[in-house]
Amino acid sequence: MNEADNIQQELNSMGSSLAGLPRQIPYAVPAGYFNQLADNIVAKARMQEDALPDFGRQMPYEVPADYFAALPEMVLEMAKADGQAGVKKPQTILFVPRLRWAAAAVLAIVIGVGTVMVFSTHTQTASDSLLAAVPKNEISAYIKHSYGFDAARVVNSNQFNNLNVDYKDIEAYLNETGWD
Amino acid sequence: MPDVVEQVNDSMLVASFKNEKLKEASYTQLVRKYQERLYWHIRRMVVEHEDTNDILQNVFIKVWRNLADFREESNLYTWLYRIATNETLTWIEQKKRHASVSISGDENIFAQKLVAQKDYDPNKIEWKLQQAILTLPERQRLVFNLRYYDEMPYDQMAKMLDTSAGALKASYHHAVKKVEASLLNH
Repeated sequence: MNEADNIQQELNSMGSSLAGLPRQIPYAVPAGYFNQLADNIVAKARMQEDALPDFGRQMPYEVPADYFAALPEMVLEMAKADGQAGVKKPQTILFVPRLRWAAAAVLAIVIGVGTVMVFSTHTQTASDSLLAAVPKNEISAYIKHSYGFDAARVVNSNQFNNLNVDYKDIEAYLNETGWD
Repeated sequence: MPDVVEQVNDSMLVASFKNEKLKEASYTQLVRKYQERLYWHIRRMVVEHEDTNDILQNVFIKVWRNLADFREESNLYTWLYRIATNETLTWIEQKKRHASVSISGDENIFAQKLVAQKDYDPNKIEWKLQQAILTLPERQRLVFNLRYYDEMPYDQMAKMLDTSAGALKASYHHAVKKVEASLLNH
């Protein structure tokens, strides 16, 4: 029994009405299409081959001498050292006290407070030009007085997480000035 | 008298393709031997000739690039059908993604293409049948077409689609029922 009989039998056994239907496809194909197809494809394949010659698979990058020979041992040593350090507890992600963040926090506070102060009395003047004119020691003194901390000391003593500052101000500042 | 091209053994075609002098001639024979089967395999899935032609050319270009590495672990026929199937399904996925962001939404793009075909006649049973088949999900449509039109045995289909013959049989039977139901409703 050939496969066609098989399929008819299968449809009959299913009691399917498809068994009696013609299996012709009604779609039209352009005249001569199959006569030309092989030649067209060969030409296209050759053209693509010519357009992209075989450059080989060699990478142009250099690797330090004996890098791969030494790599397994190096990785093993690192793994051992890591194991000796014990199983690390999952770290709570805290605000990282970096100088740049600290400076940004200080500036955000200064700008925020300073702007309110300036605009309450000098509505026609740009806040940043006014702030630029304020000496640094006065800013520090103001922060110390108003917020009860010394910016330089906080930065140096990693106490940044204890600050009661609005991080949105800091974020906005860093978005404008860059995060590096 | 049987076609001479049909008599050429697939293994010999592959072997001669690896010979640079015979490469082009053997490839041309291979294309001529399988072009119509693969064409209809694709066309039944994507409906339009132009789309079919694009996919078919990509299939044969891939064959040109990879035939020299063909290890004959599967037979050539299965390998070619697999490439054609993958190309077609990838193409359909791209079309569907595009359609889902276009004005037409995610309507059945192939049903629309069917209506636009030359000599389309909604009253003729062959067109009604195509319309019913197009209501199937792609993979089930693929299984239905491979069985109903290409008369592919389940075990061969299983190798091609990396699935079990039993699963394909169930899928085909389910598809037949759906096609029947669709024909009755239209």
